[in-house]
Amino acid sequence: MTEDVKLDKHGFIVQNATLQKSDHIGRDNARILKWEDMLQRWDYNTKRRPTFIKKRVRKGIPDCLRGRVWAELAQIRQLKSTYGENYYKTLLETETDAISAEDIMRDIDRTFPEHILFREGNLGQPALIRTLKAYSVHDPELGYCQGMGFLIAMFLIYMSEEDAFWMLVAVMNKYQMRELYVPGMPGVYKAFYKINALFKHFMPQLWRHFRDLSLLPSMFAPSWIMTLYITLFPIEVTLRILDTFFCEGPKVIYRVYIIAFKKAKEEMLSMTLDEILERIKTIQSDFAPDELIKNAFGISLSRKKLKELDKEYETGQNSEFVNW
Amino acid sequence: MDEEYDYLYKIVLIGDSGVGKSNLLLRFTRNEFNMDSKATIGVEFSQKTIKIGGKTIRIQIWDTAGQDRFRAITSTYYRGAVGALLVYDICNHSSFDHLDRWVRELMDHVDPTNIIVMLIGNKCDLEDKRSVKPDDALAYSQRNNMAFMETSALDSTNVDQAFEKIVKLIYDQTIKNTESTKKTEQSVVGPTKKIESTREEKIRVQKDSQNKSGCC
Ligand SMILES: Nc1nc2c(ncn2[C@@H]2O[C@H](COP(=O)(O)OP(=O)(O)OP(=O)(O)O)[C@@H](O)[C@H]2O)c(=O)[nH]1
Ligand SMILES: [Mg+2]
Repeated sequence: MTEDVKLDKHGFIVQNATLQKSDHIGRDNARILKWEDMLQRWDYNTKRRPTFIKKRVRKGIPDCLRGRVWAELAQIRQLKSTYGENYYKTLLETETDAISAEDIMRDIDRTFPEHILFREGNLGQPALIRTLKAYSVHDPELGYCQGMGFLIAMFLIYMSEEDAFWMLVAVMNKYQMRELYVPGMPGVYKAFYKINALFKHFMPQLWRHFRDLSLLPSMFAPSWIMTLYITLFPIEVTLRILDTFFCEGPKVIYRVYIIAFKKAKEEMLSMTLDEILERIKTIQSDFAPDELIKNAFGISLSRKKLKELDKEYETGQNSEFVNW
Repeated sequence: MDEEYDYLYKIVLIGDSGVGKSNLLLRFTRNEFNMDSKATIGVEFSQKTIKIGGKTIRIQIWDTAGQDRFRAITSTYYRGAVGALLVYDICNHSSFDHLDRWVRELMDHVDPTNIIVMLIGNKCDLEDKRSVKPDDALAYSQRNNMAFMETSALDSTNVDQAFEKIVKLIYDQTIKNTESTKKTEQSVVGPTKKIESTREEKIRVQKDSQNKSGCC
């Protein structure tokens, strides 16, 4: 690749080449050292000081350690030892079903073309193909579903091919994303149920307005939740969301959803359906990364509350949150 | 954004993944093309206002994901549509073979008597890779009572024309419907009612009464 391109610090190709310098090199270095230290005694820290880790992660994992920390948080070491050393290799040697293979190939050029790794001829695309095919062999019921490519591409930027595969396995199972992707997409309905209920709780006025307009989350948000906002927010924000996702689980999805509307709320209250849907298209630039994360964790949302909503969804659904 | 309009139509874009739905829309609404546009996950909303025969028509266009699996969540988008662009790729015969499935899926969610479907063979700039003959597509469209055009989102061929054509057909049908249901309270753009705001509602109601006075 001889093309002269300018990249940001994550490897994304930038157009107008105002290359960012790291604003606080001294501070960054100090943070990296602290993290190195924490990783040295990781098992002890996770057992004894989970709150401490949580706090650190909410401030953002240093980019150079991100892959390692994600892998630790998602506990892929355990996965590897459960399935055995050669599992990934065996998957690669197995033929993928024709439909998944075709769907995967069609999306390869359409996944992160703005990142240097996934430019044609670079290492990213073949790795993306292999990991997705391997996953479809590993989990034939799910196979391949659009959206998965963005997740694994993100992992491939930060870790080895095999680790990226295990991260996807962890995301699907440990982090319960699988139900969003399997045929029928039951998890999408369930997530929107919870979103509606929480939206009513935290944004009652806007919720009523949306209800009156029959504006449903399914009109704009499937990609938000299915790709953990990777396809919505700029990379800096996405990374911070992923950091906390791996540390604290899917709850962050709901926090971010609610906060995303915070700045636009007042305007939206007097908007029509079309206008709101147009406004949503620029919602991703309402916040700076730190600001979004801070706000999202300012919401008081307990795991218990989400569990209750899960239960309500399984047993007696409140029609208010199913459809309007 | 706040321009007034005479009619509001909801149109959906359907067809297999990768046939070029998002790019057709991008070409129509912004006159752009994106060789590596992201796959649509779920749905994407766009709108454009056009003039047809002196009338200002606002079209809401819902671009949908083509992968099979997403049909599980597409019913919300189909609801209330008065038009559908049914897109296949002229270089990909299986996207043409799947048309029946798309039509069935659509008709399950809309009022079949009140929807205009138009067949679109996209990527006609790739003549040397063609695998669907225009005659076959034309025959299919006639059998199914659809209009038909070949387009290219890449070089713009027929893109505006296709959207204008479907809007014109919807317009003609709504006028016809109003005439045949004279004096009834049925609205001109009935099915889109559900998703209209109060302000739009007002405009429409006003419009309805004008129409009524015009035809009665
Ligand atoms: N040559 C050519 N390529 C096209 C044309 N329209 C779209 N493409 C290409 O086909 C690929 C898929 O286009 P999209 O518009 O994303 O397809 P889609 O139907 O929206 O796909 P899904 O969102 O997955 O359902 C992209 O690489 C486009 O650049 C066209 O008219 N000519
Ligand atoms: Mg698309």
